[in-house]
Amino acid sequence: MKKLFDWLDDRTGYRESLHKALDEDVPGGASFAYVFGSVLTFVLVLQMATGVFLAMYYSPSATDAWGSVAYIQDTVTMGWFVRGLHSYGASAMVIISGLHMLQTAVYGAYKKPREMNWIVGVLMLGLILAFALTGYLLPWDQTGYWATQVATGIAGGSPGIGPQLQQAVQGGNEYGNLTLTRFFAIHVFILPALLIGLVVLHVGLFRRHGVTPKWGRTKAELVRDTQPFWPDQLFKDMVAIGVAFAALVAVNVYTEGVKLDGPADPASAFDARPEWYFRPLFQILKYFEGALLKIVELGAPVVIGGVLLAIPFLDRGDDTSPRRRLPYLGVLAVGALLTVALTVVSYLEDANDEQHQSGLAAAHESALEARALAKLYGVPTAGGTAVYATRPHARATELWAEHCAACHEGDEREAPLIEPGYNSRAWLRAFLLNPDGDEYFGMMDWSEDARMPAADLEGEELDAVVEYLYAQTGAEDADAALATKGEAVFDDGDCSLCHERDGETASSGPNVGGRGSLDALAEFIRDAGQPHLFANLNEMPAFGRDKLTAEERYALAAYLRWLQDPDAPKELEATIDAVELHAGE
Amino acid sequence: MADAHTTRRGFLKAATMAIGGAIGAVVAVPLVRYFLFPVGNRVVASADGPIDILDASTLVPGGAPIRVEVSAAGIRNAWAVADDVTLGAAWVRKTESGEVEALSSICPHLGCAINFDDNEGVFKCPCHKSAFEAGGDKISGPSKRGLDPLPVTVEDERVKVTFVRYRTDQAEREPV
Repeated sequence: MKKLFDWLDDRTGYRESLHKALDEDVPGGASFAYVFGSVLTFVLVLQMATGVFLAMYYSPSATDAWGSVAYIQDTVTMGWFVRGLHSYGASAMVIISGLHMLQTAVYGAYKKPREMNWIVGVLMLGLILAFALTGYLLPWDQTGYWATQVATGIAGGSPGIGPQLQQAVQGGNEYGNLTLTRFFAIHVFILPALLIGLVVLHVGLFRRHGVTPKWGRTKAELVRDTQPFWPDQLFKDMVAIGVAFAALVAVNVYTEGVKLDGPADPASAFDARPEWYFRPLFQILKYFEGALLKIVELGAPVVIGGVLLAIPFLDRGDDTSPRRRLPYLGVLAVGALLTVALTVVSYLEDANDEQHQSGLAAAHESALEARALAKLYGVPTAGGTAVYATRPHARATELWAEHCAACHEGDEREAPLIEPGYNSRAWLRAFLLNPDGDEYFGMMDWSEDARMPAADLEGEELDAVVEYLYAQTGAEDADAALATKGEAVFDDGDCSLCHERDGETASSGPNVGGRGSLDALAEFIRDAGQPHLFANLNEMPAFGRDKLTAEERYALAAYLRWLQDPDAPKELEATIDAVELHAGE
Repeated sequence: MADAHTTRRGFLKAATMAIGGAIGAVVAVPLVRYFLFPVGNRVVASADGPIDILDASTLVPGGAPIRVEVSAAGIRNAWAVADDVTLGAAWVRKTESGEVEALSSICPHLGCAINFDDNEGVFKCPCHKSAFEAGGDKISGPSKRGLDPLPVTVEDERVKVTFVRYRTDQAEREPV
């Protein structure tokens, strides 16, 4: 083994490089104050690893993005874990960047000769936020879509070049495929390249100037306490990395990954919120309007960035003791407090906004439904929102609500009640025994002699007629022998006095042939006043081509056939509810 | 004193590597499982069963095979579902005795699409020159087996084919 490494060292000189990298002196000794840069580097590497793996399943297209992310989240093994690490990892980057900058500021580490270090760091913070902004849109879910609309909208308000800038950023006049491909390319190619470049520069500068030890110690003390980077400082770094990683994994596992909203729907009224680290900017915009708002929108990031970049040039002097630098640290502290305060106020406002909360709850429900449907039935090629149409009888349910529910549901009905179990054996039996009941024809404006009398049947005869009528609907579980018996009872008894049963001939009561079957229901919906149906007794509007297409009538007919099984809707709900989702919140 | 330092630093080195290794494992294991998810998983799937491809009367007994596209009514492709997706093509013919036969158009050698040479009455692969009889048996070339017959039925004068994809470049017929 040693020989192999000797050979490798001879050819590469890796030992010397390793030695150079690890055996750096840390004047004044290793400290937990210095860990943040290493933790950031670790999280950055984690972001790259998880990001690359996410890209294995992700598809940056307006029709596929949401479906592919839902697939990662709910179907791919450990997909929720990888996506959760990446998304929470972004938050970790922002938090740890903040801590890193705080430590740097308190220790006066941006002072001469380390100004460039600080400047590169501020630029990297900008890149991290750009990562967050571009990544937020990629799932093409409601939150990402609407929150990013706000961001690009602000860019569009820039003086002079606004519209052009907005179109350049979003890839055209509207959000679409080009927005996603653009954000994706920026997120996975351009930003990483820039960030890696700056990290190399940042670390290089750091190695050139070394750490800035805590104030108040003499040079001799620092030299005396010097420890090597490896293992003394790296151990402390690794402990901090371990703590940060454990926290990240704990949050991820506890919430079972990060949430995924429903597919982006440009037609919906979604109350968008940015990620928590953009909350202060979001909140501050609420306090301004008109021209001032425009100035704040575009000016706030410039001012924040400007102050940060300027700090090392304002806070001069060799003394790094915070007590001597109170005005400068004060500015940063006030800025930090303002940021925290705006964030807290923003969340409090939302928490007390009932409308927003109910909107959130509804959006959450809808997101879970979309994800369950996506897992069960897949996302149609038309795109994310089409997933709602994969719910069995989705179209018919809409049509029902629009055209039928007003008369056939609820207490203010003007027609027979239609609910699960309609045209089932139990329904037919109850109907025959009490046709004028509230659920049946009780509310119709018919004269007494036009009304159907209760069937004078019982026992096996009643069973047989019920089975005969049940068989007319095309029910597959109908008992043919019993139905034939029922047909005879129908013909011999009172039924045939008013009802023909060939499906064509007019009679004083509706023709019962094929009653409740797919074709008959569609035909009934088209025009219930046809001679062989209710003729002049009919009160139901016709739903001919001017109102519904043949396809829509058949969709409704199929829905009614499906409702025949009183448990069908409940079973469907149960199936959808049973889909295992890695929820997140 | 030097010994104490050595021991302490030795411990720090070991502890650092242990923590690093633990983190690496917690990241690597899920990533590997995530990466291997599609292995052995039918991520692209269409409904099994015969697919209606053409009217049986268009086939002449003893005539040359004709090429017909086989489309699935619905296909699940990872997260997406699509209607009417072409799965592949079949060469269909009616034998002298009136039997309908279907052959996969995929060459069993390395998966090129085979053609039918009307003049010679044989199938030829344009890629590596394998040749097959109209009935599918191998005549010459690098293919290790004859063309793959597809299960075919005729119901109500409609020809229905079950599309199966087989592993290429081996003598046995093994579905993918």
